[in-house]
Amino acid sequence: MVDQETVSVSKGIFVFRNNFKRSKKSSKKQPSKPKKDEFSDNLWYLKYTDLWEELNNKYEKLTSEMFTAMTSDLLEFVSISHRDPVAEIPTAALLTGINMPDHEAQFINLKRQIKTDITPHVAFLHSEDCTSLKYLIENMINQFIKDSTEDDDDNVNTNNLKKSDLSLPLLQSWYEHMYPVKTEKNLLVVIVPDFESFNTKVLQTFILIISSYLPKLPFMFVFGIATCINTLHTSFPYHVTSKTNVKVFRCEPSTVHLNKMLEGVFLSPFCPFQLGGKVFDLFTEIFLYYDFSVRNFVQNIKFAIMEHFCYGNAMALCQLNRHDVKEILEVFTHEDFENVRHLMSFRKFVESEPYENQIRLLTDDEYFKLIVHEKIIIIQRYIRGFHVVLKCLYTLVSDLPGAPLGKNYREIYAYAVSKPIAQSNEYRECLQLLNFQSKKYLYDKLMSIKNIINEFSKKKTQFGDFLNEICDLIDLLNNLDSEANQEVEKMDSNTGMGQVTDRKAFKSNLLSRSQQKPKPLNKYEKIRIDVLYCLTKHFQLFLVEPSRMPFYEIFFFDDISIKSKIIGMHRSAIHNALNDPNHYLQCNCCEISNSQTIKATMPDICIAYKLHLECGKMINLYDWLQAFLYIVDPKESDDFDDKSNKLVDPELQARFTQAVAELEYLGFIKSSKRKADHVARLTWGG
Amino acid sequence: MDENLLILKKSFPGRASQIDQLWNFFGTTREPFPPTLYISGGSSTGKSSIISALLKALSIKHAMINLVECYTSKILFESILNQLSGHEIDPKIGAPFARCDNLMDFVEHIQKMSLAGSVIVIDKAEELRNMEFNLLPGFLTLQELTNVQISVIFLSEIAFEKYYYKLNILEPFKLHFPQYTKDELLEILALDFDYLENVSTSCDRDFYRNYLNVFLSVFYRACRDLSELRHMSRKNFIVYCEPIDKNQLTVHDSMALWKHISPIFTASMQVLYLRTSNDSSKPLAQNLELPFYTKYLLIAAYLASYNSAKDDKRLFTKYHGKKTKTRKDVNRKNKVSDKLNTQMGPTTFTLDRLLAIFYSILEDKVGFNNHLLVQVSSLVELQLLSLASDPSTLDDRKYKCNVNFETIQSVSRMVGFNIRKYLSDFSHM
Amino acid sequence: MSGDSLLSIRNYLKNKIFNNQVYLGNEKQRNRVLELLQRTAEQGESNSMLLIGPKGSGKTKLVNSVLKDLQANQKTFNDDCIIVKLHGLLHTNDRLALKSITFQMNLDNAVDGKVFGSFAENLAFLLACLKTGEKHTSKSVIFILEEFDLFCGHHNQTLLYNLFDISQSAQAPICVLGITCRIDVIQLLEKRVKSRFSHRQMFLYPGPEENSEISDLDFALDRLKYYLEIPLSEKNLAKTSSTVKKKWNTSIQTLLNDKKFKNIIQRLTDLELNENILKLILAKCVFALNNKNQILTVQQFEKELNLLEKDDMVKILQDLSFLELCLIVAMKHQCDIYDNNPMNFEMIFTRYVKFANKHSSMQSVQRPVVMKAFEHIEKLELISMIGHQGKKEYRFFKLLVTPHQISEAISRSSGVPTEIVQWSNSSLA
Repeated sequence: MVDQETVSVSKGIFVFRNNFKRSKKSSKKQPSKPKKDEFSDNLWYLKYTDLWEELNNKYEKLTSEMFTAMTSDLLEFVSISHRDPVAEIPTAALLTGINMPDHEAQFINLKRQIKTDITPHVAFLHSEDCTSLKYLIENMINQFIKDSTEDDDDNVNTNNLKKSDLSLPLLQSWYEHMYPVKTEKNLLVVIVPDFESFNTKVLQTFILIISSYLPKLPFMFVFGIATCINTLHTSFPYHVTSKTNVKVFRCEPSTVHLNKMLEGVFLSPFCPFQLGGKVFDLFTEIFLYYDFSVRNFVQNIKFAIMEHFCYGNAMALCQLNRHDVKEILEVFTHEDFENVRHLMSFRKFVESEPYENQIRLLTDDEYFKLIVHEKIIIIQRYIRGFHVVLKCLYTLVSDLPGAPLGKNYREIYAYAVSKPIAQSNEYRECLQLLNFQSKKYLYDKLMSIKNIINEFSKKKTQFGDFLNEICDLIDLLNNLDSEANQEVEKMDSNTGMGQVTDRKAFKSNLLSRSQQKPKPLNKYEKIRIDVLYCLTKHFQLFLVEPSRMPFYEIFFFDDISIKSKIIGMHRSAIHNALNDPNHYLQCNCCEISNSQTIKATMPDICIAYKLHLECGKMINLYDWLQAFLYIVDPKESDDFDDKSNKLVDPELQARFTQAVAELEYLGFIKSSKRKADHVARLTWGG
Repeated sequence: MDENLLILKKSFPGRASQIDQLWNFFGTTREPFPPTLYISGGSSTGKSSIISALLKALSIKHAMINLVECYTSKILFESILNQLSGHEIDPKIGAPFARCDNLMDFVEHIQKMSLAGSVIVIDKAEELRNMEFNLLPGFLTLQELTNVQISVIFLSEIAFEKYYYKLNILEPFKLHFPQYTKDELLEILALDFDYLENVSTSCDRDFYRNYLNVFLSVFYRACRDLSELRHMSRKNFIVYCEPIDKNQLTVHDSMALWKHISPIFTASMQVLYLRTSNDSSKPLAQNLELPFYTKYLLIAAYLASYNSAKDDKRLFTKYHGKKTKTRKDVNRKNKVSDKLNTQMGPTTFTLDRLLAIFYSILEDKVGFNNHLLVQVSSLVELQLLSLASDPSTLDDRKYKCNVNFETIQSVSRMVGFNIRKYLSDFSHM
Repeated sequence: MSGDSLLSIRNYLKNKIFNNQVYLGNEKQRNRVLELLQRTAEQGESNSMLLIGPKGSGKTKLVNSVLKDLQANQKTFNDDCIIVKLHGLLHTNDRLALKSITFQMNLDNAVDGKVFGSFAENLAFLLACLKTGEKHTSKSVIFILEEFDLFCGHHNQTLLYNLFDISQSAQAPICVLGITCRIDVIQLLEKRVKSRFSHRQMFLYPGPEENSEISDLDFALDRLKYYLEIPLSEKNLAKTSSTVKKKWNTSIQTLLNDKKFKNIIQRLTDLELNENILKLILAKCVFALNNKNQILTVQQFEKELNLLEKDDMVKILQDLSFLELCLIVAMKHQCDIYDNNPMNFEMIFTRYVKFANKHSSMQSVQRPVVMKAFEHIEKLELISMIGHQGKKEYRFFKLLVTPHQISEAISRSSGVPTEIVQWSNSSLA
């Protein structure tokens, strides 16, 4: 249950301040940290850590690059803000978007850049340090002066400055001592990362004060605004805004960030771990519907990876390098092979084999090893092929009108991993649309496809013929102009598409689909058909859904059951915990067959809870107590119907009272005034 | 006629009479100054700049204080004393000329310092009313208190009668700086030319004046504030000159120039006072990006804030049965347009009501999970909702929706939700 | 007349107006105070008394002149009597008061280091110190408490209690002389304090003494005469030749006799007979003296009086931009319709939009801009917010300017678009 809490808390948060704490919290989720010694020697765990390290580094790198790119023009603005004398305070309003996962990192990064590139004087004002104007100003001036003393050898030690003396006149004199002659490079930059949570009154007065000092002190502001720019207008009245001169900067929306992150790190032929369609959809849903938080998306993937590897050493084979696979297989024990044999896809595979093979597969580890190895290598090739060709498909169809297969790579991916995309109706739509495209368009597409293939596979073995055909087609298109258009024989149209058998059929298909009566085709149109035919052929070749091949589970994780862990439902969680403690305690003492049964071994609160489920709106405490006693020790309550001895074992009564108190604390019941020694039940019908 | 006086008048066009009056008061330094002078006038009508220029020109010892800076009276007193004593703060020690945090000590210091014939200028004087009770009367009678011929000048935007919250305040000498007239504004803005020369090539003063004429004809109605107008005129002049710099137009075809600039003027009319050089002219509400369910939560919050709870049944349940028209409904129908809920501001609502509405307006059914709960608190964090109940209590919290109608409209448009249909203000129309 | 002689006259007049120490009021009253203090000084008789009268009725002057006399005439006075002056604005709490008392009795060295249980002990000690002078009789102390009413605000009125207690129980000969302009000051005293006060009160009134046949006008003229005329024997003006003085005085005489001038002063006295107002006008005229206009003219006075009579709020209103003016008018109409019920921005905004849409000539501006204009109006305190919770759009406020002021401002200021004028005049919004 606690675990549930942390999971859920770490989700859906675009409250950006505490992202760091939270990420730490959520990293506790992984079983490794608390009981390291237990796993640390397991093969699968080692492989897991390696993989996660690698992916995480990639991710970190990518994000930091993104922010740097984003802040460049902001920095430009800051650097020139005071080039010529200003009447108003130059102010940069940075629209960070409500839920960029790590504003914190971004602003720290920004501060660092300003410090290095522009000016040593940067003050960072957090709302919680600036509850009053006095605090704000003292805080700011302290930062300015301290920083300068740190990196300037001119050692003013701030200790002998009284806090009450930290006023702007002091700052001014400090500044004038520091820069007897005014130069360009000594702005005083004030960064306010969380504008919304600031006390606007304080901020207003602050701005007024600063503006009165502007001639003497070259101040400039950077406001981090999460919502939208008119927050700035609504929170500042006329006489304050007139003191500032705001320029607006936008971070790119987090959806863009997500796409970059996915394509850069996870949905790539270099990532052995592949997300299955269902899980991937789940994550995207969480992202789009609940929080725009990329960080949480990554955390979810991490969770999935852990879940994936937890299956056992079989998952250690989740490698893209064939030699690694070999080595791992060498160290595999019999148990490990059994672990592999338990994979669902293996069963399918076995059944498809002839009988004697089945025996060998099931018994002979050596033989099994060979098979596994070769199958794994097939999958490795498949994954590479899959992603590269999918990229080609993506470039081909992403910007078609209406984008039948979706505008984003992730959408196409989600589709392709779950069903054969090249046979889908959406794909056919795409083909029709493509069939109307100009030569130019087609040509460009082919070129970019060619580039993609080239860049992804140095050794062209896998895509060899694909590439060649593309090149030929490109040539054809090139010297198309030279040849004259000549008439072409009519085609008789017969319908029925599905798997393409030969180009004739294919062509006719296309024609019939594009509702135009067959008319003579010119040269280009013929080539176009060839092109589409060729592409479709290869798409169908490469873009099969993974579940077709044995051992795919080793690379593809598609266990939707993690949903309950990813999306926390605290109410049901609590209900589970109380109704079936075994579910969390994992103790065999209180396993129950059906949810009604109550065991004495259960914790008192569970017993009380389960009993109270049977009651109506009002619960008679006495009856409740009796029922409780009946459970916890039956023999005592044998004679509880004769009213003669009413005295209850005080310890049991104490336990009962505590249980009731706990339930009340959890908000299931509340003591009612209406009826004596009754309590009201608050959760009617659980 | 004094040399300085001429210079002053020259550098502050449209302020001759005020300068003359001030000159009468302070022009001859041997003679006593008026003990107190209250100068009222709108922002950027040259109050403080003229005063300081005058005092400098006459080399009168003076201290200029802006009260917004003085969040404690300590700062006020000490910085006055610093300035009058010409004390330089040493950044290493940071000590003021004298530590002083009450009027009594302040007066003593003044008496010690032989300050006869010096002046204290207090800007944003209206703030005095919010400080210790004795400061306003104290500064108004500083001469009596100190027996030193030191005079105090108050600068403020509001009329002096606003200070009569306590009786028996001595009337000071008063002087009003009226807003500039259109012509005066033209004169002053014309001084900008030197600043703008480098901005655009190939334009002379007359050209600039013509531009200003055009400019003022548009903006003068909505704004008389000099600094704002200057800001706008500078911003737009650059645009105004573009066609000339690109040699599409010459300086002389003013008609074409007007055609070119007028849409831009109307555009920048919309951001008047807002000071955002925001090139994207699309309505601001639209760049509020929220996750799907959060959008709905916000909409639900808005509905909860602007509908009375008793209408919920009628609005959100499909079959609320035949509703017999009561007189109240009839009245509601012909409710005067400016007594609508949407004008009376948001009312508070409980979390339960919010969620109830949320689920009823959301087509696809979603489990009640923690993500949703977390988003409510996030909305509060972002000030889109505000917590209307004591934050320390965890149960039955109350909230208010902070977004205005056009924002919520654009949000609901994004998710294809017809908000008017669910607002009791509009639903009956 | 020669420039510098004029200057010296002007200088003389200014000094006379600003630092006049001579008490011009009722002699009987003055003598009463004199006797009182004398008895304390000579017979060591304790006493307490309150001087009550509006600002500028010469209370302080009276006391000061009395003290001056005493110090001048009784050579013994300074030896057997100490004067302690406290001011309500300076000594805002008993700690400060005590500090100052100690200082004025120059007993700092006697006190320092000592710790006192209570205020009473401390004061008692101070007074005891006086006994141990070389004289056998103890020195008597005269406490003069200006802004007496403010001392009533001190914690438990400890200071007052102790002073009155001593003065009553004659532990040491002291006289407590309170000066205030609050008629109801007695009600401010706590019971225990009141019971110890000798209820000796004296009321001073500005203007002619009651049941004297001198009219207000004559009184005012008399005062003017006093301030303006130059006694030939004036030593501060030794350099100036007596002919010049005579010339000046005659010019003054003619001025005072002028029929028109009398009317003006009549207007003033009808407005308010208050020496400060009188001085204000007078001073401004004197300030206006220079080589160009060498004598005080009727026109001068008339001009100043007109300025004085001008309504500051109207001035502020005239400075508004037309947009802001529109809002004000909208508020006015709102007030008319909902008889001065509080209103909020939303209502005014809808009203304004209606108007703007009716008149195409008004270029309509976006909501945020209007809001800024609204905020400006609030800043100028033409409206006052009621309560500070919630968003600005919905916060209720009251209009602080009268319809008359609005219409006057609109009629006064030039170039107001006709539709606005009509709108403001139209009875129906």
